[in-house]
Amino acid sequence: MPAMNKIALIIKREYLIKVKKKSFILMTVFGPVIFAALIIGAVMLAASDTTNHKILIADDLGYFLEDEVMIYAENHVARPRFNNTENVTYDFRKGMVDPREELESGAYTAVIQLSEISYTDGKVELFAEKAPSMTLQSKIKAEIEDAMELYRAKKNSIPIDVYKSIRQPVEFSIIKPSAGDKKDHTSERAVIGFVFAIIIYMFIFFYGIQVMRGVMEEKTNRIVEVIISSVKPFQLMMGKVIGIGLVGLTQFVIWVVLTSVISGIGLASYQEKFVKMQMENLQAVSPDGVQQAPNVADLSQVNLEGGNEALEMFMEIPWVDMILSFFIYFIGGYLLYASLFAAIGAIVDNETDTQQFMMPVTIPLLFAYIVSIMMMNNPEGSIGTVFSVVPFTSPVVMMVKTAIGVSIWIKLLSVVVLIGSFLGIIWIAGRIYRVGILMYGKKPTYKELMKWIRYKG
Amino acid sequence: MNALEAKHIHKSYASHKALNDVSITVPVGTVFGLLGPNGAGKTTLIRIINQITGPDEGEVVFYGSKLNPLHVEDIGYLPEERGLYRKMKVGEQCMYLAQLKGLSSKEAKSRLNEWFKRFEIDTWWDKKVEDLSKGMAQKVQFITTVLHRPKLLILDEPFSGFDPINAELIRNEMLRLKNEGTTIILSTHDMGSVETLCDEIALVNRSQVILNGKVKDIKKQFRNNTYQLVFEGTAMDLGIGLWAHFELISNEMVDDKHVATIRIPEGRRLNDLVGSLIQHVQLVSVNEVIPDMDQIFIEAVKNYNASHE
Repeated sequence: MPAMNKIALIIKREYLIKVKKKSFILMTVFGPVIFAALIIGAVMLAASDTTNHKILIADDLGYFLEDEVMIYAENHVARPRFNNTENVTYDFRKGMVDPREELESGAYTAVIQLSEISYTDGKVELFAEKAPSMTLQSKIKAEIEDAMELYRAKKNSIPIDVYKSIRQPVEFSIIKPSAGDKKDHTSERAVIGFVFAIIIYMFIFFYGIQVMRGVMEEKTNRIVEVIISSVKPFQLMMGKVIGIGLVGLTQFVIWVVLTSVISGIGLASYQEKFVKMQMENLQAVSPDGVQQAPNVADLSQVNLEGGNEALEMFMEIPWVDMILSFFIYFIGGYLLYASLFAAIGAIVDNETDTQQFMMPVTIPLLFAYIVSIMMMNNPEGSIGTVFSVVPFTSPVVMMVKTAIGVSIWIKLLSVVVLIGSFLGIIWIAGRIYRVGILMYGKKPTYKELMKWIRYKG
Repeated sequence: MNALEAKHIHKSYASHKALNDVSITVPVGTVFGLLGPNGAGKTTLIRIINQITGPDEGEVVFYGSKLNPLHVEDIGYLPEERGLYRKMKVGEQCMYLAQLKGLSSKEAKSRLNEWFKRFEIDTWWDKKVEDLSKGMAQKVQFITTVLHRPKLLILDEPFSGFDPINAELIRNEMLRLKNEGTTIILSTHDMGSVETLCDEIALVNRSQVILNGKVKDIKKQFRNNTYQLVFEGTAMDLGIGLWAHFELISNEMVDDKHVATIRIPEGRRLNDLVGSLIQHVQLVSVNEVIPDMDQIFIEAVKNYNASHE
């Protein structure tokens, strides 16, 4: 029988054994459920905090109460600040209150006490047994800030529009002339690339170690001598590496499909509620139910602009290149590392001895991960370019680099170097493997490993 | 015709020479005993025949042609350190190993059914390997070794771990396969099975073949004119009868009769011994002492080591 058929048999066995395992099925099914739950949860959290908040704002000096905030309320007109919504209602009181008492009475979930120092130094105390969500906190904070600015402007007889025009925050818009003067989203793109990089990093690690364990199992079970009287050790090694790699790809594809389906369904069923909530946030609810149409329009305009920017960034990512690169580097990186892990599995007799030999293999992988994190801070740095070519780091680093944008020449060089390296590493790993699987007892030194590589036959 | 000829094989590892100019010839249809102390180089030679490693020098000829990768399908190998995938089912495992030896899945299935019936283990097909006892696993391993009907079967300690009944089963299977024309290389320390099964042997010691040939001839070669005599009389009578012409190796009483082992030195014959003794004691029987393989093994290895110190 041709050699290829035998490799196919080995691949088939490795694949089926792993895929039929309970742990694989559990991870493959529940992974997406967890991912989807995280995605949906993140959206829900971003959308709102579903607990009901009754917030008391007490102002010792009372200036706050004199503010137009109260005037709006008295006139039954929707206020620009401190809108009551379905989940959040505000009460105002002059003077100092005992926050504990107010909270214990159950009338309020949070008490905000403004004092003299609040007006001068901007220090405000918020009392709550359960802190409101970050979103709500920052919303309240912005509104108090806004109201105080209004007060200070009035106190200094500065017309509010003048004050606003003076107090203008600065916002950077990074423009890249070579990219047609469009707004630059390099950092955001680097984050997207990093997500891909992490996936490759995790799969290489997880499945590389599976290969190592598989080789060790064959060695300690003493089945290996039977098998290599039928096939060449190299065929056995490659069959295992490829078989387990296919398991990884299978899991990845199932994860992507299931996660998108589950989170899609989840978000779709949640959408109605989500939209309603958004509307509530946008709408100013006044006691007589009159809607403030202009406000809604204004705010949705803002939202739309934010969405447009995200979309623009999304469109800037070279998706075809990303996905193509993902598979090239996924496979190349996996072959490189998995064959090294196979060699480690062949060298040792037990799990504890693996540590010493795993170190030099895991360090470059860990380093690639660190470089990827650095690239999010400094996307255009040359460190990223260098390590997107170095074969032991390129599978992880190049994903970030591709999302940022990389010249075709660097990419080609990187791919060629990667292919050359994994061919070389597979050859070396095969030489070590071939000798190692029949050696029991004392673990070899690095010097002995060099000798193994040179053995003939 | 020879099933296998290993010619002047040399193989070295980093620190030692495993095989030093080793040659063996295994005729077709014989059981060939590959003997030797631990670490003598037997396993290395077996691995070279299985193409697990290659020789540094020398060549192996299999049925007239130089050993090549296609020959793995004509060889069945049961290593001494043998195992199975613990998490696999017995049937699955046998199918896998059979297909690696080149059998189609259909062929493998039908042959396995046959063997499982013969070994009365048909109910094991869906059993997990980890649930098998050592002896049970050994049976499965034996089946996977012979399933593809190899022309050459290499069995390394095939009886270890078997109870006497199963060892007998394996022994009978070996003889049946031999009668069907299979050549068997048997590597073992169990000299009893060498006596009963082997036609020829090679004794490997310190990386070299120190004894080689038909079991019959080797035994003849190690015969050293020693006889066992049973007689009635006294030790004194025996002593007088032997005088200084014959060497008394041992003498003991068994059921009120003496059993003496006596070596006849060069230049004298059995007739001289008997002629001298009958005048003094009542002879009951005289038998030539033929050394067993155990003794031959020990003597050959000791002699070799002594002369190479």
